[in-house]
Amino acid sequence: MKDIVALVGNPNTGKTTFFNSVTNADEHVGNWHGVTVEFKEKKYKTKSKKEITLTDLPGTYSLSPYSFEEGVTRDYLLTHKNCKVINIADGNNLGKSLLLTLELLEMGICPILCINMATEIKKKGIEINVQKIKDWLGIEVYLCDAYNKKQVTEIVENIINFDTIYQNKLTYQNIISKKLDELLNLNIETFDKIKVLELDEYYIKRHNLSQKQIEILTKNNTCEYVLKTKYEFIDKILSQCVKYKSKEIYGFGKLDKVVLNRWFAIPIFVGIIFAIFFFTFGPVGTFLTNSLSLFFENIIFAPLIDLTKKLTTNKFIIDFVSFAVCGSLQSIVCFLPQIILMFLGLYILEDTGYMSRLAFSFEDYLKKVGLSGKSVFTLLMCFGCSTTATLTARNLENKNSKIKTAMLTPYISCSAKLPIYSVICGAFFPKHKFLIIIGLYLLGIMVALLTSYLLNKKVLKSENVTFAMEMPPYRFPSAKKVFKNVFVNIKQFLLRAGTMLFSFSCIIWILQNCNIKMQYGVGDSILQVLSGWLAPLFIPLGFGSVGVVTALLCGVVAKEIIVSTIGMVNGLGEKSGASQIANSILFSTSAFFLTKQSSLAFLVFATLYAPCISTASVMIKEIGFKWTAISLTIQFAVSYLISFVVYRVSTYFVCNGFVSGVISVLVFVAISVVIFFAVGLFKPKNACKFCQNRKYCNNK
Amino acid sequence: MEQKLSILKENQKAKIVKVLGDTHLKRRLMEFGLLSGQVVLVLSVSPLKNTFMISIRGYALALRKSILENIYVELL
Repeated sequence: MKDIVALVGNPNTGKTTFFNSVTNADEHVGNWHGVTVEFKEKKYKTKSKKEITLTDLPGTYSLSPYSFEEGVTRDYLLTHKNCKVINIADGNNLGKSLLLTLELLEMGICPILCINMATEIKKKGIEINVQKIKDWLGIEVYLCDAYNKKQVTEIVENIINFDTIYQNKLTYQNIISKKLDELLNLNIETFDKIKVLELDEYYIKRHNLSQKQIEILTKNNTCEYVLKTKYEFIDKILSQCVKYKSKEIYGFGKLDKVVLNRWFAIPIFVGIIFAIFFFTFGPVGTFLTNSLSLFFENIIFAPLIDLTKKLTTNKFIIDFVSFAVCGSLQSIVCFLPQIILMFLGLYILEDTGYMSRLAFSFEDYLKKVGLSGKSVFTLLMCFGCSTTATLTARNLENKNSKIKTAMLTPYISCSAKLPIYSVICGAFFPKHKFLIIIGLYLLGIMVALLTSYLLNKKVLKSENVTFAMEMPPYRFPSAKKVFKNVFVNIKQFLLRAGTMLFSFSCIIWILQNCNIKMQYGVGDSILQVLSGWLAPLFIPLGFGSVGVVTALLCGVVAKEIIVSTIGMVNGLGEKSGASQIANSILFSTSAFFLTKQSSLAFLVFATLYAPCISTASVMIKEIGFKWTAISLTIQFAVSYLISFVVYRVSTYFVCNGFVSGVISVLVFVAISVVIFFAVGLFKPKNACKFCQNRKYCNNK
Repeated sequence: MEQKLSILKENQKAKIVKVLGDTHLKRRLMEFGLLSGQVVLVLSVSPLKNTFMISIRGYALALRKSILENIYVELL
């Protein structure tokens, strides 16, 4: 059998850092809990040319799983009995880490104990006597820094080359198992006895305990007895092996008195977000975007177009290269500086430990709609750009909240939607422009929160998110780690979403410029024909003209081009200004023409109807095709409904009076109820509320 | 006097008397060190007062109020 070395430990003790140091992998590391949710394996060749597999398991507090990730860890250990185990412990909070070490020992696994954060605890004046811990536990113990490549490879080399002989030194084990013998007569192994006393469902089922037997155990409070005995043992070890200099509470710094203060928490957060926003979308980001796209235009695109012109005289190919290829590359390039800056902000916050505080402060608000506190970062970043914001959703710890958060991003008005609002409101409501724009922003937020609420109720439940959270201490962000994380994300964006974005944009360009017979530049383009077909669909919303639908379809490419498309279909030149475009909408002879009522419906529809291709590409990569498709369907349905109601209500109130208005509101409510129940039809199969369908779970 | 940990205010200290709840939850709370006899201190309360940060066995732990309702304490 091939050698496997598994990394086991409490959340946020540095298992992944250890893993990355040994294997040079790029797995994501963060200063918060539950960054690793699935196990990851990587081959490693030792100095003696032996190939081993190193496995990074999700953090767990004990071998009685409470969440899906913890179930992964226990399953792995149960099915890989012969693997070698490195138990990573946090030197700052050794007592807690040792509980898991004891469980591993009880299970018959002989781990190597690596006490991480050697440098940090030395600075704090905590002294750990490694030799004494060795004597107490009877296993190899190392004090190390997980990021120190030399130290950790040495430990891995050691575990492979030496077979440790384990002597059981857990004196409490016999006392505990006697307790079970007193209560019940079971002939099972000691580890199983302890787990039965702890009332672990898996072991109770395994040994066929009757309801009556379980009652006896519950009555005698055996679980508390076992854990108390273990903690007493741990306290004995700690009192003899560890010396603390100060009585500081681990994970609660002096800064927390302010950062976590009930009144200051939100203003501080708003300040930080504003700063990141300013950098990403303000002058710095814009400057970088402009200079980068200028650079690409002159250095790469111009020569590329020239080259194509030399090679061929075919107008289609030349235009395809200069507009479709270069155009879509250009839009990807435009994203880069924003993504870099946003991830830089995110990872600096994450590495300092602020994200956990954020989760703490916002948990209350977002839990109500089924999101976790950390979603607030992604949601706020959506005001800048949904594409980059959707990428940041990958940092959420729970799969369901990640899907939900990613599904909400398109509702929130990104910066590209603002020009649409301002042109259309400028044309129809110059006096109330500001009010309507604010209303549209609020509408997006409300719809997002409501969607999340409904999804949480019916499909994507995430009750168990961050049930309990240990606070990581504040750490000074390490530049190396932050840049590595940003780099990895950029690489992934370019490889995964970038390629998809590129191909989508090229396809759309062909649709925009070729007719049905695939002839270039002759007659009506496929897109226009398509708009003609789709236009009747929008008659109930008041804007069923070909021009409007063309603009909306182009908006799927990027929201930025809606305004210029309006100009184009209305026959204005490429360089026409916003006011000219706004004026052209007012004339009923224009292709893109709206009335006061239908303009409101259009604004609502444009706010909600679909994400741009880049966001959709990122969504497909992050949450999968199925959820993206569901999200798009919901979005379209919701925007259609709301804009229908807005159009009808505004028309009826103007023309037919109050009663018809009320009737249409009732129709809207009825349709919403139908949708609400329709959503309930896709329920997850057999999901257990604790561990989300682990196979051994009894709670189904 | 026995009371729920969830009614404590910031900076109040208390000694745990008993932990209730279903087996699953109870075990996890005890694994966190929330055992009877231990002393807890409320470090911070979130803006809507639904999440508490407490110190237990020398480290900070954030827990929802609904969960803290399973823990009975005696004020110190």
